[in-house]
Amino acid sequence: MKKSIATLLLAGLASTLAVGTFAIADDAPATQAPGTGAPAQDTKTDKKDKKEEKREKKDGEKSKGTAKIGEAAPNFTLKTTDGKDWSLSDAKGKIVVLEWCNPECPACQRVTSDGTVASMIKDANGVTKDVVFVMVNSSARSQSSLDATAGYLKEHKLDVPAVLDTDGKVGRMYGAKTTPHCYVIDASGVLRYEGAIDDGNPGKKGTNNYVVNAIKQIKAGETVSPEQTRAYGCSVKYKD
Amino acid sequence: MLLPLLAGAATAVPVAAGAVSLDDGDEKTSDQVTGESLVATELVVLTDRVEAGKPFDVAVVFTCSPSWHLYWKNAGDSGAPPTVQWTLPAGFTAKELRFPVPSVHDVPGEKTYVHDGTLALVATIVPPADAATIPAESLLKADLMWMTCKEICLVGRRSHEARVPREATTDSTVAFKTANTRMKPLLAQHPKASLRAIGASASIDGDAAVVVLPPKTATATFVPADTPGVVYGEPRMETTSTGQPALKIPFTLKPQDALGKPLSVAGIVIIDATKSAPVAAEFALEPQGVAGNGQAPAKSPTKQKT
Repeated sequence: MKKSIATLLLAGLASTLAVGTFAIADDAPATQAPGTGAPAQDTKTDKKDKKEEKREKKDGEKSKGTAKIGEAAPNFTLKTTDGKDWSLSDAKGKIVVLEWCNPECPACQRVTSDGTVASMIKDANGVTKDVVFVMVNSSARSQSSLDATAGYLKEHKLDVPAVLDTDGKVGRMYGAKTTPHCYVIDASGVLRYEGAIDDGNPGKKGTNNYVVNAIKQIKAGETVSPEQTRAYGCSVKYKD
Repeated sequence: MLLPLLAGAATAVPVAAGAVSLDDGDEKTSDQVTGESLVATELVVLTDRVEAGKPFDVAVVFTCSPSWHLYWKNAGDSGAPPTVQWTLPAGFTAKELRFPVPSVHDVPGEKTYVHDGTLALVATIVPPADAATIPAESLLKADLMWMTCKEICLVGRRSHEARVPREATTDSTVAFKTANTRMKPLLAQHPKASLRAIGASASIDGDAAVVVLPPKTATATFVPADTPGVVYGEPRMETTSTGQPALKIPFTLKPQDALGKPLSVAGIVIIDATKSAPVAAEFALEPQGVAGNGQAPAKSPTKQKT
């Protein structure tokens, strides 16, 4: 019974989750999702998507479609576990931390169960209240569906939105390789850090949280260092 | 299933712990297996006694279940290497773990460096120089952690202990000989400690490391070590001005990402990896135009092989 519910949920997700009204650079020819060769947007974009696209252009966002340190982080819109749309552009003016996670991955389980994620959120909020944490699940596996991800956050008392990227377009756009894999975007929308959550490993808590470090340096107006580290953990279980 | 007991000490406690065997295509899921059940581990002491100031090796042997793998010391784009936390008698120290030559898993968008089957990680243990501080029996404790992956990943942990006598005994001598014989094929999978051992040499040439290879080398592979602050480009075979084959490894320095460590261009070069017994050696160069020996490296002009 459980299995069939999960299957139904997955099928439902696949059909209902609209991934990405990606920001298009003013000077970019538009519209290929990196690594897929597929159009980033359906040519039959619905009215809502067109509205969002217009708004993004109005905001003047300049994304070339792939995430690079020091450049504008590509925008995306995904559904949260409670069914709402979440767009990166909505968080403009705040520091955004994207953490790729997968409830099945022991490295994610470690950073969640040992308090690493909770401490990170608390410490970041101690630096600035203008910080938003978002969990991104790009796994295509059925166990990582809506209820699993929501349940995972609830179990670990993490009051942060989680978005589902079942077709993996956003994960590939950001180059997310592992779970966990963290990205820090500053208040002006520029990607400032990507890599490991800390200097630990899948079985051992780290002593230096790179995300909090980056947030502190951003708020102090300093160069982020390190700005890239090697993320550890499971590979992101992309659709193909 | 327990692997045969293998320890360098006559009084060694059991040091092997076993894994279930999962064949290819096994439908067992993560609910049915654990990181521990998928990987058997042993602690193998490669000496029959502990002598003051005389280093000896200890191997940590991992045996993966079929189709599952572990990771090299630089896992690559995902994964994480096994770790060993040592608890040793006072004054003893353990050097960095040495890994065998990994396999390269290269799929679009992800390159990882992995081990499957049975592998031995080796640490050199250095006892204190003062003989009075060597206990009659030295207790070596190793706390292991590993991540093993197939389609999913699981983390395993296990601890092992071995006791090594100060004076060799008949049993410890026999155990040592047995260990040496058994470890020989596993240790043969390790890279040589220097390029010279395989007839190669390396230097920095601008923003690239150039590994000059033995004559008639057809192909060579570079497996980068985990060197924070150094980003490697795609290596390519070239020919030096003197006609020798060379592997040119471009790199970019990012000191801000070095995590406080000295910048180092390092890794393993594997020659003719398709052969049944690949030849491999480790190297490390300081990237600011200074070779590991502190001397300015000889320029090794290269030209693109056509």
